[in-house]
Amino acid sequence: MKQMLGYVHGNSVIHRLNPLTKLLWAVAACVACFVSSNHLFLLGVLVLTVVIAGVSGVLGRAAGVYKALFILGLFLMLFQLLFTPHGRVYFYILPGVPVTDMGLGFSSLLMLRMMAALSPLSLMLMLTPMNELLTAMTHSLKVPYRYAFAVVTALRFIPAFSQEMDQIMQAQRSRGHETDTRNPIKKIRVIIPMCVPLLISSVRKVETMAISLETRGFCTGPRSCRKKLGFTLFDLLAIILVMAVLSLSVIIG
Amino acid sequence: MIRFNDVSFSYEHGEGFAVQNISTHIGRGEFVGIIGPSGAGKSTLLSMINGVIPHFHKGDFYGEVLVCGKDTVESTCGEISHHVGSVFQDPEAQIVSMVVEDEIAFGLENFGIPADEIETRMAEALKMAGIEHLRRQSTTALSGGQKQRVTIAAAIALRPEILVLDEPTSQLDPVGSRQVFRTLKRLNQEYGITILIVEQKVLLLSEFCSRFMVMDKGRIIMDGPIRQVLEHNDKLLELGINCPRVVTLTKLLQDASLYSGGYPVDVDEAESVIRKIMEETHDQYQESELSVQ
Repeated sequence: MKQMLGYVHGNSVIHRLNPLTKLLWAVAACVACFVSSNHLFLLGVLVLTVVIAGVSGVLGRAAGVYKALFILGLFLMLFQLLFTPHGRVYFYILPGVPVTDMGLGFSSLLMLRMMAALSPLSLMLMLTPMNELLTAMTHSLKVPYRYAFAVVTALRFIPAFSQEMDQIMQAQRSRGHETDTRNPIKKIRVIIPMCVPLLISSVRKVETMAISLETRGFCTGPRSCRKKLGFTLFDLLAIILVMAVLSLSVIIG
Repeated sequence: MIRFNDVSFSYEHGEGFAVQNISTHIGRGEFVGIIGPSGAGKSTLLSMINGVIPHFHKGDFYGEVLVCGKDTVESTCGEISHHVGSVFQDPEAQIVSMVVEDEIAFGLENFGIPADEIETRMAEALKMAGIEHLRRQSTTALSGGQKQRVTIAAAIALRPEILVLDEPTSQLDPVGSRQVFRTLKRLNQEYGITILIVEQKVLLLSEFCSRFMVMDKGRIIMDGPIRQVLEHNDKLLELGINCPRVVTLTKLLQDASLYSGGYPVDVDEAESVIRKIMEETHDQYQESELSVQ
């Protein structure tokens, strides 16, 4: 989670693009993946994100995301494969559960679609500093600052909470609380004594933060912005590329 | 600069008064340390200066608090924040941005300050807090002391005349605490910022502050220059406040009627006091030896 959402500092062409362009790319790629049902097209989008990750120098981090998406996709594919009995039967994996050509085509499409639709989003978060995204959302998209701030702050608190959780877990473990079990029902029972302290400490943290915002003039008047976010030639090129991908998805279908 | 006129306050769901009949005045450029046992009303006192009381925490408010001539009940928290910067205990929870420079720009952007001025003020605040090298760092990767100095920088970027700090070094080691205090001393001396700080580390306070306020059960029970307050060290000990060891030592010397001067506040001063006593007693000793012969 932490790795999929964190910004990776850099100064590549992609990093310097206007955050709106990157947001447009992420949304458009996602839409295109759902419009198109062509294996090659989806694979193309996926390859494009890998190329973008390579150009901006975050391939290492992106690889982790691809791996996670791949494992998730594999599960999806397996289920889809087993529950599609239509089409020509290749073989029976279990008595009465056939593997068919339609099932194979359909499930691989689903897997590709999920990977191709989600990776641009995660890549966008890796390549856009939070505050630029915030500025783009409030100044250009006219999202009310309060809401945009809430979204960004939720992302900012993920590492803080996971650190807190680690601490609580170690504290409970040191007092003989067992945390390792494979039984899912037991697991839930084991987790409750950790969630309660986490909840309490989070509420306390949030209160401190609210006071800290209050004493620094949060939402007291019109906000100014430190950085001017302009559009460059690269933004234009990128938008043309995005439009091309989007229209291709409609044409190919 | 700050004036309390017979102020009492009780929290909405609290029992009794958190602070009671507070009347005091804090002048421009003072460096005030506030000490006292827990539950004495120290944090409440600070929250009344930055407007968190009565604007965030509700309750019954009696008397008046004037900050820079304005009544805190009548101004909003945002208006007060132009004059008063605040730093709290937990630096982790106060930091709202992912990058140090964004954190410092946050308040400035809230106040609608133009972009080029933000740049100068940001550079100034980073320099004042001594963290210019951290400017582009991620806020999550900093140490506790660094985080605390980032929160101080974020507060002083707004160019407040007053800075209130509620146990800013509670999560820091001795080295980190000292760094924070040095930063504060510089802000106080070079930029004339009035500082009020609640702190448990009495030794650090007595080294850096110019005025002590001792609170107990919602009242200010002692208030004055450090040396004067430290003379009542038996009273402080009763409240569970540990005096600096040099003070305890001087007290012992006084009880043995070997010393009758003022209280030293640091080790160097104590050393010269003790040397003097040793020389005197040495002379006396020699004299008595001679008279015996």
